[in-house]
Amino acid sequence: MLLPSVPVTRFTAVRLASLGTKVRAAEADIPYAGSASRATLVIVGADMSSTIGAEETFCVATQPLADVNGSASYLGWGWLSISVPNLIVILVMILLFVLAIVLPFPKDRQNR
Amino acid sequence: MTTTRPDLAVEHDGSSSMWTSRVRRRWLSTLPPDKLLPDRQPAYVASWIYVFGVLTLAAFLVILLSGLVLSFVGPAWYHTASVGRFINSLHFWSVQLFFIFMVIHLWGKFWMAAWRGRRALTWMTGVVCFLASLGTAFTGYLVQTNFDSQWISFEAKDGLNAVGIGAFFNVANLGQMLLLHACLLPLVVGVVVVWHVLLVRRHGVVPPIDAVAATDPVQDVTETKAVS
Repeated sequence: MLLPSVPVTRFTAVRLASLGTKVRAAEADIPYAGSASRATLVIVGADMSSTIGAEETFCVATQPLADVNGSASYLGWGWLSISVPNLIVILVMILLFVLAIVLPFPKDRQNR
Repeated sequence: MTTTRPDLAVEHDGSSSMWTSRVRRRWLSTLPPDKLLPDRQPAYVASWIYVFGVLTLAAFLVILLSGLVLSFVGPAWYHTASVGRFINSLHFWSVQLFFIFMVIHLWGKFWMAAWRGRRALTWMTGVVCFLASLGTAFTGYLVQTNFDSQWISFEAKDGLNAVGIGAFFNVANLGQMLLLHACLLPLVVGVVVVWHVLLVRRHGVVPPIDAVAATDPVQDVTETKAVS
């Protein structure tokens, strides 16, 4: 899924890569395209012929909420070890349970 | 054409000794139509916590339908084609929602002691359904036909062999796991779910604890606190 094209300088793309953002270009000969880490922001270059610092047009892909294909992070306290995704699911379930008890249920129209 | 034969008249008034007649009378006395398909529920049912049972059922239906599609078209399709990957993901994520809804349903029923009022069998069928669902989900992870399923099966086999059931429940046997996942276990879950729902219809939705304290603990409060 691509967002509308946004102007991004070559410097910005290099800086994103240095910050750990995965930068991928449509053309293979883009010097600053590469995968600096497992970050997920993808920048697809359109015109790579301009000089450094010139403003160019890129298509920036949306950043996924989570990398579900990667390895999960784990949290541990002594003997207890739990993955972050499992912890998130449990917390969401507890939140849903509490909301289901607290939130008022909409009344039937006939009984209003 | 009408008939006046006395034996037919006896059959129609419900006193026939035929097994079909006896089953019908038993069914109607146990679960009359107004209990099987009620159009009113007690006032206490108007709470979000009572929604999670039917949400579990809805997720279960999505699992069955998406699984049916996957079984007909096969892994060569659902691993490569975009629609196949969508249906595969639909099957996976509906399972996640199924368990989330079922566990919240379980929490709600546990804290309202839903086994009260002769509902022990309803509670136990829920327990069996939960355990059978765990087995179905586990075999589902084993038949993904990818590296994840290989990893899970070879991690699981040591534990299962250690408790002595690896000889007849071999997680590295794809054919066995596939048949269990697509045939036997869904059938068990489906039958127990229908039984569970029929028991809920028969005994009614369990009332809150304070509502029971004010009434007969065995008698449903359906009539006394019905939404009017």
